[in-house]
Amino acid sequence: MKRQQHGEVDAGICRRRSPRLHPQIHASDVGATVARRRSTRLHPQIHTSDEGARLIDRRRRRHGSLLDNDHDMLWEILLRLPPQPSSLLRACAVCKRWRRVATDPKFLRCFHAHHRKAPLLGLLVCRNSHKNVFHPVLNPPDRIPRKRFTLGCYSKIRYSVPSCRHGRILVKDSKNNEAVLCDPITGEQHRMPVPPGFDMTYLSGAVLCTAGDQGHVHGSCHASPFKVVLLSMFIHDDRRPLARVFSSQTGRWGNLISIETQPKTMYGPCCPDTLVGNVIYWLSRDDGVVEFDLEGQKLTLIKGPHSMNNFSICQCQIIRTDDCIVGVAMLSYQDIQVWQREVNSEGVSIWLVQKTVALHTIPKTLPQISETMPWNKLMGYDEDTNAMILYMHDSAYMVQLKSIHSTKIDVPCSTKYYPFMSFYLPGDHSSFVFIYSRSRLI
Amino acid sequence: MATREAGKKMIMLKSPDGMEFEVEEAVAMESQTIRKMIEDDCADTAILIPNINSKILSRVIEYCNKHVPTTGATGAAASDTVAPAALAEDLKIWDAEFIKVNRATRFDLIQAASYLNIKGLLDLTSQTTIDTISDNSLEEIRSFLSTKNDYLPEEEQTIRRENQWAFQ
Repeated sequence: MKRQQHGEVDAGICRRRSPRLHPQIHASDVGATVARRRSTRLHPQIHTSDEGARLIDRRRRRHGSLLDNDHDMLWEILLRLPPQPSSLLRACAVCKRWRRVATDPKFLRCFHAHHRKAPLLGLLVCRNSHKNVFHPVLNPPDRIPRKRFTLGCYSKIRYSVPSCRHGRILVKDSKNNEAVLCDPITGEQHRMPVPPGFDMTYLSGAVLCTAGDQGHVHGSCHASPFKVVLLSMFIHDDRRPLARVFSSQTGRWGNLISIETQPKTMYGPCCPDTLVGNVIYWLSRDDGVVEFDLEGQKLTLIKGPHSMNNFSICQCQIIRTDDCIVGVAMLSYQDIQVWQREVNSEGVSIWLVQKTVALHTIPKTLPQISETMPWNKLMGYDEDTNAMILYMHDSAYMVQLKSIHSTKIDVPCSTKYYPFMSFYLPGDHSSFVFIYSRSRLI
Repeated sequence: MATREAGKKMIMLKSPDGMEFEVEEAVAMESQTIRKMIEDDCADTAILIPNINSKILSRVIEYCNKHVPTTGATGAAASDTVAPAALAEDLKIWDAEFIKVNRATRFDLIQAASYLNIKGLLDLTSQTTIDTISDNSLEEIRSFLSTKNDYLPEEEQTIRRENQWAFQ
């Protein structure tokens, strides 16, 4: 019931604000929308033909309270506040009227759509024998305190994190045989019993938002539907790698999907996933790559570039290239090789080198690398900006593969970093919970 | 006021204080609100633009005249020989000069851009306002926008305390 109310609100927003926010809308639609909007909101003003009344209004405005009396103007101005966390929180403190606008779910949807991309709030740092900790990367006043990033009990050492995407974190609870989805901004958690046949030791996963409504911006997915994919790489006793998809919209796991060709040598769990279009990829052993087509519900084992065999798994990363094609980046002590998967004239998929970036050409922050200290590691990846997190010597760097721009990040050494992009919500977060049937989870 | 030019359809816009502005149809159609009126054949006679006085309306027309696409019926913005990047830079410089107005005029322009639905002008005026106040303290923001603080002192303290990190 509550979900339906959300839906109605959403529909209302699209009618009201979409013309300005989506220039791709046809002009005739825009006009129609404008006409609808203006007829309801500005109609009274049009009829204020009484010049005296208008002048009084104007005089009052000259003396001050213009924004107090013009909802539209206040809306338009606040919409253009920067997307960083402190903006709307500070706006809320100006006066009650500003707070009402800045916490209005309709306004927030427009705010997110206006900015299109959620800011990088920080990194989730996952270390062996350490807690899962959020590390903010923004400077004050946008530096969110760690206590505002809530994983609850799932920040403890024994919980591993197989996936993080669209402002949500997937946690593996081996003791209770559960996969748990956490929204650290709202504090919401959803526990999903792992289906039979999935061995926790060999378990990998992926989480993604499945909001399909126009104008949705990932990073504001708190109330949006999601899917969780679990991948089991347990192949002993003649068992095959398996995948199953949990959908928040149905509240249950989908069909069991088995790999077509039984691998002879492989073990897991695989590395964190990369989403390319509608396909999820995991790095496996040697040059093995697991591919799961979400739409076609097909699980396949493919080969990566042959040279992957010369690199350890912590020196390889599956990437989404700028052309939205799957690729692999390999980090040596002297360069980053970027490979891209393409289909040749005979319809066969092949891997081609897209580019090689010498580490010494990456400006500013990277230290001089020597062959005697080949301890470079690929520790994380942001598929939205195609940026890798490298760990070299005693520092972490975020390197954009396209521009080769690098930023030093002040984080402790770790086995894995997950970039966490999200809008920060002002006000009460309780209206942003996801609602779905939890009556039957398997 | 514009004069009628051969081969170009002209539209008459009228402000509430009685001034009339004759503008090319393509310029007027920078406003999605007026575009809709024209497409609905509601623009046979003069279009009354309520609540926007002649001073502000003339500035709005000046903006639209500059921003009307060069590929349209008019060549008001630039000649065909100007490269797109240079044209964009020229427009940026022109916008920066255009928006050097006092606070009251800027607010009137925001209101006009909102009513007439001119996205570029709305972006320019609203963003300039935000840029002006973004580094200011709450007190300075209230003062600049003449917004009254209607929180009780303890309410404001609570808000600040809950998100102390955002007020550093």
